[in-house]
Amino acid sequence: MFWRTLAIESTFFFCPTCRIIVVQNGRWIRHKRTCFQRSPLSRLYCQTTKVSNIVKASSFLPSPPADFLHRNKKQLADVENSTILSIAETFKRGEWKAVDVVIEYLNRIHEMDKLLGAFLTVDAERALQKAQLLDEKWKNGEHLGPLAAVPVAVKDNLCTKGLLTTAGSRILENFIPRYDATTVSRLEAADAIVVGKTNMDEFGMGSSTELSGFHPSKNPWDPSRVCGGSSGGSAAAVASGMAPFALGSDTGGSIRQPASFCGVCGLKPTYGKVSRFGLVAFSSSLDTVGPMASSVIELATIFQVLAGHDSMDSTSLSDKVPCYTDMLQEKGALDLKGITLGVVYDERMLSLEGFRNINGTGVEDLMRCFQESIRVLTHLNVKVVPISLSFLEEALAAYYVIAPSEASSNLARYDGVRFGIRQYASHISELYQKSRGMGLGSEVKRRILTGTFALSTGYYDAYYRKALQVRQLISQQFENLFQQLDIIVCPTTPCAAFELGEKMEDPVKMYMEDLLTIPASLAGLPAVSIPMGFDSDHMPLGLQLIGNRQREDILFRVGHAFQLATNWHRHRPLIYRNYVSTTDTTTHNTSLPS
Amino acid sequence: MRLEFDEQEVKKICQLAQVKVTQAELKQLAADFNSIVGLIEKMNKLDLNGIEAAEYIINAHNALREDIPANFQERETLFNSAPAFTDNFYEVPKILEDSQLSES
Repeated sequence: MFWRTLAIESTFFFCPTCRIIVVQNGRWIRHKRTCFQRSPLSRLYCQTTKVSNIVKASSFLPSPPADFLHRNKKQLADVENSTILSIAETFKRGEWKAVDVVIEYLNRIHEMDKLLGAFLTVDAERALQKAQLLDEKWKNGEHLGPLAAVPVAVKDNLCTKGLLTTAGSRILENFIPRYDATTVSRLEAADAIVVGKTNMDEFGMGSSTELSGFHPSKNPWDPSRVCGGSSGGSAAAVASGMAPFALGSDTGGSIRQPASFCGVCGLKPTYGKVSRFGLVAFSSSLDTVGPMASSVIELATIFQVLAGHDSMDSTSLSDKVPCYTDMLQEKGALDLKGITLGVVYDERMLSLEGFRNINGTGVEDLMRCFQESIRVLTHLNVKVVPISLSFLEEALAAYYVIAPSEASSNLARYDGVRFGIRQYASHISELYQKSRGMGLGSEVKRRILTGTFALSTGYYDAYYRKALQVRQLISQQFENLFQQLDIIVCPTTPCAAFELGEKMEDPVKMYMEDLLTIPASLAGLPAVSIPMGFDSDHMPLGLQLIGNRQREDILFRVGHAFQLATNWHRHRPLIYRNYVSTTDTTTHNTSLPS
Repeated sequence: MRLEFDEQEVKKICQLAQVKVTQAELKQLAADFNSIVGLIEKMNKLDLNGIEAAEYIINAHNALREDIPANFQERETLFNSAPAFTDNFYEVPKILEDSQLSES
């Protein structure tokens, strides 16, 4: 339908499993190897107690019937049935019990997380207790929230009462908060069920989740590759079906980039739209909390719950929150007439470092998918205007002064005195230095030191103040652009997910991953990343839509229309399809013949 | 203004930030710093004459509330997570001393 005209002599192959067209012989052979042939991904060994045994041992739950796991798995496996809206509706109708839903998702975590490492903490007891509570509420006919019985994975830098919160760092490895973050308490009030905390780059500093203080998380589409960062665990959890949705945080692209790498949707809201209370602070003028899910309409549903003023966050905006879901249900969702799209197309941008993967072939696939997406949007009656974002590298430079500077201030509280781990010392300075030296990872130290340097006497004007001027310039340029445009569109990342360890030698190489996501963060604008296709290694690519301040409604409208016209967001990785196709649910060993 | 970082400079910054680094880390950090400064100096390409430094990115007003004290219910449990706590005080090693303890 939307494929560009191919030269007559090209041969192309249609893959029935992932429904893409692969051009050229060599790529087709590589694709076959990773796609429908049995791969090591499918050999999942289950050595420890299965979730059903935990349930049997729990005194407050009845023993599950023999076939319930199988029944639920088949039903929830269908992409249509495992969206937030369908889970909530099916639960409210009485067809599924909340306990059954939670058990199915806990099973998935149990089976798949051994390989992916997306979770740091899973609290099965607590999730099952909440589920039972919801079943009671349903029985009594009480009012149920919009996210009733939907399991959620929360990024580990959001405080959850009584549940270990480490922010991916060893210095907080024993920290159990005594309160919920506002976003978490709003989800709980909407009757969502927190199943666990996901892995992340330490304190949100990183673009791959390899810099977690605990272990790296793997990409569900190819476990030899990263899942992006810093909300990598959340993205991996949603992409592999371990949770219907997840919460992440975005400072310089930390929701959008992993969403792009893992083929899911992620929203960075307008700065101030979602409360930061309870978020472990990294860079206070850039941090935002946002949802990750498999489709834009789900993002809108979650955002409806999260957005709004919070008196506990002094930077929280007090503007009224419109009803996003109603706006999407209106007639004419597929007609985007009246919307002007600014398409970023810059020859100079393509030559920047970061746009080439190690084979040097990244750009073609990216531009192919990007151009196809623009064509789809044009078919939906949108008006396209080519624009150029000429300040990408300078924005990156400014971000890597501002963020570390604010981090050096925010992370001064981790001193081993009031919470977290403490090293033995004979003097207070030694206590600080040793505790911080031991508990903080190398990237965190790098950023704290960069920030300390940029703010120090003699360098403040040359670096920090200059970065603030660059930030002002970028905000002004966006303001000018949005006078004629409704939305700006560009790829989310310069390339698809890279391999584990590929960018660990030079920190600047990792920083370049954020090239396209940083400008929206600096200007405090909302942006969403949605899947737009795959590259020749069958790794997902993401499309980024940036809107004007507080105009998430246009982002949702365009994103939803794009997803009605395409089906990239409905693809699932092999690990998920293998889990679903396993019919034997009683044995522990799920290895399949190679 | 091209800055070159050597280990002494990095050590000074570590002292300011109160972070202890090993000798090996120090070497790596000096190299990383040079790399990072190479990146952040790209800001110099822009003409920033007449541009104000962006102190706030949102139309921030002083967020005030009524001067009514609120009670935090979980006060006791806050102290339970402290490494060392006695008699309503956080216990720490010596603070006041004649000479500062340095790492050299």
